[in-house]
Amino acid sequence: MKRNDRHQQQEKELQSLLEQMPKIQDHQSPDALYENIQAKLEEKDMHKESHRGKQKWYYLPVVASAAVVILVVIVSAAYLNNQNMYNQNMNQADDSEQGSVANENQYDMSIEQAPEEEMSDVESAESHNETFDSEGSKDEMMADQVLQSKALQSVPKNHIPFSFMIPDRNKQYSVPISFSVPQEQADLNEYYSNISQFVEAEEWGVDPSIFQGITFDFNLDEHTVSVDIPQGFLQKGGSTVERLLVNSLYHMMQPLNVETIFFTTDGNQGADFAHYGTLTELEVPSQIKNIYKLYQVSDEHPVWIIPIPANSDSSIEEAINAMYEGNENFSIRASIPENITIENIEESKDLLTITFSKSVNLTPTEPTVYMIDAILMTAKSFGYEEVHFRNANIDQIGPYNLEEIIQVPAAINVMPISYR
Amino acid sequence: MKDVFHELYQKYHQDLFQFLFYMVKNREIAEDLVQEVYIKVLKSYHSFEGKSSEKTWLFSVARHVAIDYFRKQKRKKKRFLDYFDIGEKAYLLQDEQPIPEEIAVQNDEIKQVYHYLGRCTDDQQSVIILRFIQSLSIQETAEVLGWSVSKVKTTQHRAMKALKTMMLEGEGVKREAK
Repeated sequence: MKRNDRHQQQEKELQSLLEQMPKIQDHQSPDALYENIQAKLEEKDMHKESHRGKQKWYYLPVVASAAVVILVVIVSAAYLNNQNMYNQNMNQADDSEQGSVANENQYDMSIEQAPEEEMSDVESAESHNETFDSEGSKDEMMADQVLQSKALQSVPKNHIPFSFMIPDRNKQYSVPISFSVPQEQADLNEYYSNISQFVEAEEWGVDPSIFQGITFDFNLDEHTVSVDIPQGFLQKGGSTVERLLVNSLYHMMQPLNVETIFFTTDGNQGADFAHYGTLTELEVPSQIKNIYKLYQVSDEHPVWIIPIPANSDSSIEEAINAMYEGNENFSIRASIPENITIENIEESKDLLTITFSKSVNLTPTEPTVYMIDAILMTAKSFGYEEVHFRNANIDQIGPYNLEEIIQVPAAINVMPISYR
Repeated sequence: MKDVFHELYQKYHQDLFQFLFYMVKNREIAEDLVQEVYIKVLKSYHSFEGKSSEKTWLFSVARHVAIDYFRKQKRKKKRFLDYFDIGEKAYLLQDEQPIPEEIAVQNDEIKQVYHYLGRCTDDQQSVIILRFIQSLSIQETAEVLGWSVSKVKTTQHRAMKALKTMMLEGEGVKREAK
């Protein structure tokens, strides 16, 4: 006991010494400091510009050589094809009959394939996953246009999509993680009251602890949900947990058309929020403007496309410009790569038209698919229903046909549902 | 942008500067690093929407800036050591900074704490400075470091133990020398 007392005494003395450490003041004047900062900011921007310029010149010979190789391949392929055609024509007398059979076969195949197209997007995403894991290089994948999107483009028949909004590890941002389940199996009360059971926190780099002990009771016909919070939970977490929780609730409830959230504490009406005071109910905003960017804890963790709140009065142009910026301190990456310049953004009713600069050449790679996902989700949060990409210089990237007007997705970061 | 800067300066500047100073133990370096903090903060200020407190966010950026600085220093030192092939004897090369004026006028115990604080790990140092010199709560410290509350408590406990041991051993060495 005595020894323990002595340790505690020593620790107290040390703590008191630390608290007596002298206050250190900076003597720089704020104006001089601001001038220095501004100069450095400008210097960084200039460096970026000149770096961009250099990069272009550096790539020129590579691009030229690649173009030559592609031309050679195309020309020789065309030549060989012609040769084959010529040989076939020479060898096969009943050429036309054969052709019509081939066409009929094609027709049959397209009928057989039709049901497959109705397969849910989640399932197709899974099967793409398998292709990626089992065989075939990335290049082959690209050629087959099976690059995976993070978005759920359309809700499969009789399915209900829903999203959890789970804080990142730094409790700075929240990651939407979505699922799509057949309507007859869907039990939203069960899913939302046991969020951590459906989330691989470690593997995904998220922290669902803010939902621990919170239960949900939905009444979708009335557009309401009742959220029960354990006693003392809000006081323990402080203002960070409170803000995260309310933000998550808004984002989770809005897509389900929930308009009012009722709060109870251990079954009794109302919940004591540190910042908002005692709340019995909260109206879900009809629009939440967001800027979607990429979040990835490390190379071992998945990339997520996450919403960063935009000011309610900000424009879509401002939001899209902000998508060029990341924040490495919080593992946030830009969702639009630096070299993809956008020349024009036009809005008309529900349609947003994004025109890339003529020099832009989109490539069928993962970052490009994520860029499209992120732009579509940002547009959706600003109230647009469709997006048209112009000057993309490529007709298909992953699931997106860029020749056509694209519907905004139903949800983002879709995962197959699995109960642990 | 200027308005944002002035507001942040008024509210947090001296605290941020002090934090950086105790982390890197050099006034000139702290002056450079605090500029770096503002650059990062001003560039991403629009994306900060109060999901955590502004104060813990700023400290978190400042800590990352300090840790980046340490990493760069370590890389430089390693290159230097590799070049002269004295990697294994690196411990003989202590990079002691001159004691700053504010510390030099303090009593011996304070000087000792200052000295041994620099011998703690980066994480331990961060926790001690945030908790006892900047007087942040455990919860706030956890937010700055992006850790759980229990990790802050454990690291704080280990840091205090390490600091105490170093101080006691230091005293022992002094007595023997006498």
